[in-house]
Amino acid sequence: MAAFDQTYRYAGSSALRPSAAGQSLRLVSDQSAQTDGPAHFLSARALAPDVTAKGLRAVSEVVGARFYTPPSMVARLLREADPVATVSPGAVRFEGFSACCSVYARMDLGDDALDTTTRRNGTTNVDFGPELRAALAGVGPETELELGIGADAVDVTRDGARVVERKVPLPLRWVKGFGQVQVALAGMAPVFTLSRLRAQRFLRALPRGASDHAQWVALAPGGAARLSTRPATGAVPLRGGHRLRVLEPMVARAEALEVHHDPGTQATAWSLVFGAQRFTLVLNAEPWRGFSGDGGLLSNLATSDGAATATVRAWLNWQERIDPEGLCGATALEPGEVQSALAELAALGLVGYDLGQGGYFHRVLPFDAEQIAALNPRLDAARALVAAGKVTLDGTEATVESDDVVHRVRPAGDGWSCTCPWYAKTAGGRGSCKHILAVEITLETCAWPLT
Amino acid sequence: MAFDLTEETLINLLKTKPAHAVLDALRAHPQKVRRVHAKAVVSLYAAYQESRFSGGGVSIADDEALDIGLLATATLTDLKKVGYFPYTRQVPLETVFAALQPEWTQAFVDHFVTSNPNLVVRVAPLWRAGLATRPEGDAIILGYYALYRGDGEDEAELLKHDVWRFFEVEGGGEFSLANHDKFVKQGSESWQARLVDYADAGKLDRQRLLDVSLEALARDFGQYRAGWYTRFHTALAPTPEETAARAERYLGLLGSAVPPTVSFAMKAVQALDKAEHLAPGVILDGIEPALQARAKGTVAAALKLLARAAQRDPNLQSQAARLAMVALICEDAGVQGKALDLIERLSDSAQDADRAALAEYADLVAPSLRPRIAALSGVTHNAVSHAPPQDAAAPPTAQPVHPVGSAEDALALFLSVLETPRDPIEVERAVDGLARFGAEWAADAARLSPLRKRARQIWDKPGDGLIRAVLALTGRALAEGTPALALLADAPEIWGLTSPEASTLQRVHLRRNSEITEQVCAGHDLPLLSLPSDTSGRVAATDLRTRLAAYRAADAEPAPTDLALALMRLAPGDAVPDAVPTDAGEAERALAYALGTDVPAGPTAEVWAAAWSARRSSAKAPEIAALFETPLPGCGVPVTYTLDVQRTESPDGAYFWISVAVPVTPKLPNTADVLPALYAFQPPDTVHMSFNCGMTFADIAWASLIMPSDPEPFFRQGILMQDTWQKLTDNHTRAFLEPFLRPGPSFGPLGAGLLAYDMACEDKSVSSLAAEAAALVLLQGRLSVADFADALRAFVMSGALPTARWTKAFAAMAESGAEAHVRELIARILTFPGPDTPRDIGGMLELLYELHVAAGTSLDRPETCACLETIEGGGKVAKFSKKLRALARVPADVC
Repeated sequence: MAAFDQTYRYAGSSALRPSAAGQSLRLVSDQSAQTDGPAHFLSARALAPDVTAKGLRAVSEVVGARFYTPPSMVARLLREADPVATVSPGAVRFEGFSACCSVYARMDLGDDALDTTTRRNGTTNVDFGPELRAALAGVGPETELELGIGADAVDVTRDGARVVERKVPLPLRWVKGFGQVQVALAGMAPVFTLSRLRAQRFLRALPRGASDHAQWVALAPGGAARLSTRPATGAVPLRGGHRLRVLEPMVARAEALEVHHDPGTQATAWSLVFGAQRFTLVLNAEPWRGFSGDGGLLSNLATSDGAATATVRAWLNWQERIDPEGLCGATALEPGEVQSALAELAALGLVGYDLGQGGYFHRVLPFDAEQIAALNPRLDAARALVAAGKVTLDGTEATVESDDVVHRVRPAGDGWSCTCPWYAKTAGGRGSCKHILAVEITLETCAWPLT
Repeated sequence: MAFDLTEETLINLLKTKPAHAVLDALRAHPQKVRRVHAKAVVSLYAAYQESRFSGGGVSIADDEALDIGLLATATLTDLKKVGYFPYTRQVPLETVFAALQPEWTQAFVDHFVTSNPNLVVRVAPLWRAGLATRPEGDAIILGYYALYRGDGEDEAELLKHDVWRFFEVEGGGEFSLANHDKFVKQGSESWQARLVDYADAGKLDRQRLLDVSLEALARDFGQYRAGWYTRFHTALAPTPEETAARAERYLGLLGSAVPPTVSFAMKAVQALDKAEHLAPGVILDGIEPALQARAKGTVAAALKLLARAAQRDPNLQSQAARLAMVALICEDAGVQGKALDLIERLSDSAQDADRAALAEYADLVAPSLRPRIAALSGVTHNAVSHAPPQDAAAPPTAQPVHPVGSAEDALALFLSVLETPRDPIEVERAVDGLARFGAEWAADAARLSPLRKRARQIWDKPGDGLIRAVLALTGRALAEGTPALALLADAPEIWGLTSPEASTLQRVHLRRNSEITEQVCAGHDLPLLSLPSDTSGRVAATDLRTRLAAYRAADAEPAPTDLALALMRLAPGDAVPDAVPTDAGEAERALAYALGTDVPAGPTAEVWAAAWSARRSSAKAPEIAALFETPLPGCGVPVTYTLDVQRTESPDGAYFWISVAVPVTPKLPNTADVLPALYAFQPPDTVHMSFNCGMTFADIAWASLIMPSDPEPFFRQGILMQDTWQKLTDNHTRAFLEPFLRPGPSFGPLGAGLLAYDMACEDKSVSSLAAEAAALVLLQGRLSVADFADALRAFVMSGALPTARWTKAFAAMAESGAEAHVRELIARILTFPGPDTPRDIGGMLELLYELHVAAGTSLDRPETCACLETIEGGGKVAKFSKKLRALARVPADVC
């Protein structure tokens, strides 16, 4: 199955309309994912309205964008997926994932960015059409902007008064990547920070057109960003730099641009900081590569018995920042088990990762978690190999018979190496191959003293 | 009257009768009866379509009859499966559907409308005839952007509803208003003209059209498609009153992400300002995005508006000064200067906070403007030096290349380079691993199974790179125990490998690997002679001696191609020639010869030619040349290269382009598949399809290691292969710059020529790398400024490429720490007589001036000053030649 149908049900269209106080942004939430409780998530006043509006526009732009177009996809350029909004005690977040699955965007509105009247914890898709994007362009710093998220329709609805249903075939890799990107974020470390003006200059210097060649960005003397065609110490890779153009309309209002990097997957995160608000753009190493295929979590899943994950999951309660140490104390799990469980929950769409506060937060992606859990064909293939008795262990290495080929799996550094083409191409940078996973699964049940 | 509808009668009917007759016959039968025969008709349809393209034997009297048969029997799923396309000629589609009444008519309409906007016009008759409802999605609007005209009885719907959606539905690909009007056929009407006509005729509300076209521009439409809406709005020719009524909309468009939309809005705002239809405060509230635009013209225009607003309302001066500061983010020094002019004019009202904010721009503006910022902000500026990265100026140190340590690691490495052979040193390590451990792998079929399978898969589909095919064939040769060249003999033709006339260095690579696999299959575990000793790619003489000793100990003859390659890679001057033992074999003798000892040459001509190449001698060696039937370049016969850059014009003078040739002296044939000759020379002198280095990055990168001590012939290929206007996702020509990034020797005129040429490439991935490489090798002292300036002058003075490209590259080099070199390079280029002044050299003069100001230096070359005296041109050229002359420290009679 390459896609599943996600049906968005909206009681009208989101809109920005004049209100008694100024402007009222009513984001209509998706009714299909509602479970219980009132349908209204948020009523608040934006304290830095132009930043909030620009951030929401940017998230929506990413969701509608395809930064890389495979030749077969020309006819399916337009994507109709919508951003996801999460309301939790400390923040309101809007997330989106590009149609090509290589860019993730999130606008985090901290408590100090909103004057909140009502709030209900929850996660929902929000309708976000092109008309709304255009309207948000006019929000200035002096605009009084009321922000509402709820299932109730605004005064004028699209297509009369009908509930609007849009059935969107969401590619599985899109949904899977949404969770996987949180795992990539958790593996990132800060590399450098650019001041507003330096960030502005850097973004202006990027080519306007699509550019796929490999580049590296490093901090130069004086605090400027230096683009180079060669890797260097302290530099982060930037391939498909045109993807960063999403940041350009916002950077003039930012305080700084923070850059994070995951050396494992080579993914990078670019966060514009606006006081209590933060817009983060996460780029996968290559524009044509989706986060879904990175598989950094597969080893955890392969060896997980599910108990630790279930225990941690039971403790989730819309925490704005999940404290791993606290969880260890509360659950009697080891720190490694907690981290592993959190990563697994991230992949399932149950927690997100906030780079600004360096920790996970609870939210539930409004997609079918069962389907997300079933999206690991590599792991399925590994289990099939184990079930078929294709794994043989000896003192120093393992052999895995697969398709008339005997692959050798050997310890290499902190992990494993394999003789299959996947490993030869990625060297483990995009997760373990099915042969390594099969060995790891087998080792869970066999004592194998490595010498 | 209905006849009995058997499969046979139906098929016969479809094959022999005309469309009308078929429709008459089938309409008499209910759908349920017809559908029984769907499978047979679908098969006939598929077979007929196949036969039309492949010349099969299915004969149909009237193919439209078959279409009707298909519509009469099949389901919509069947139609999709066989690729049915609604196209009727004799019997209109609506007649067919009215007669047959398929229950899936609506689904048919929905499918074809949404799947291809070009088909809207084909299926529209169905809803006109009341047989279906018109779908109301964006697809209908895309239909208008394709072939659907919406005229006749459809016009009412167009004017009432659809036309307004033109301003909401952007389209994409080939379906957009911009594309429609750009490619509209002669005699057909563009949508722009038609809508303007409707407005003139009062059929469309002109005021609403003016509004919605501006609303469309506020959406996130792509630049190309947004252009239609600006053109349409302009074509409506709004009156001053109409423009004034929409003043705030135009002002809002200054924040558009589409530069031409910003320019369009700026013109309107300028007109409104002139007529004083915009209050100064309103201008200030909306002007900020234009002050941060990328286009310098837009920023300059915005500054003028700002100045006028401040003049009209003096109370706004401090706000205007703060806004002017925003324009300092513009990269253009001229615009920065204008912003500072305005700030200075309004500075009396500047607050402390404004001064502090201004000081933040000190590092971002041109050096010549920094003192003005310091004066305005009251903050002393400490110039930021673009010091090169710590490791840039240090002499590059070659790191040892360690042979792979075990059979398992060797196999893993070989499998890895089979997938990604971009690093040539890793490729050589992998082949060395195969040479030393291949016999061990071959003894274990299970261990070899991944290589056997993968090598076969890659060989079947190697892609564009010859090197992958070579490595795959090498793997197969080992796994199958068959010499690689024998496997090649049975292979389909692969350009560059199987055809001797297309001599490539990958053929040499294959020949060497084939020799190695034969050696391995004979049970030897011996090192690769040509494995580089260090990351410079060169083989140390001591290493080669040690490896040869291993061959002697194993009583094995060195593979001749491997030996020839090892000799070409030999590091110069790091070993004193030994006396040659009397029992020395050919390999030891050739090595001694390569190191400078004269010994009798022969018999393996290629090996001795390689040994002669290693001497880097400029004198002919008759004893080597005599080993070949005819003299070959690089085989005892030294060759020299000349860089020739010309601007070539079309006969009518309308077009011109750059022609770069690198002729070789003396002229010699080069038809032999001999390594030194292949490397030294590849006919003809100008660009040709026979690129002997290969056509992918990995191929070329491997070729860069043929003779690391003398990359000039390699650079020649890089110059001949470059296409400065080509932009590629993974530009393979970047691999020609690899030697500059490795430790190694100094570079000669062709290295300088390649850098100069590549710096002017349209593809930024090439030009940026060339600029970075140039800065690096200049800082390391591996490229002489004089040689580089000569090459640059040849290209710049040809006038065949925009001078601005080198200016950009120079700026990048300066940022990489090579400011002093850039100053000298530009000064050395400025030696031409006035009438030869290249176009757009003003930017280069400006850069030279700013670099001198930043460094506190001045011109000291009399030739440069003399050139600046006579240089022709106004504007920037005149301004900066004057400023530069004012900086000169040469006798007044020269400057």
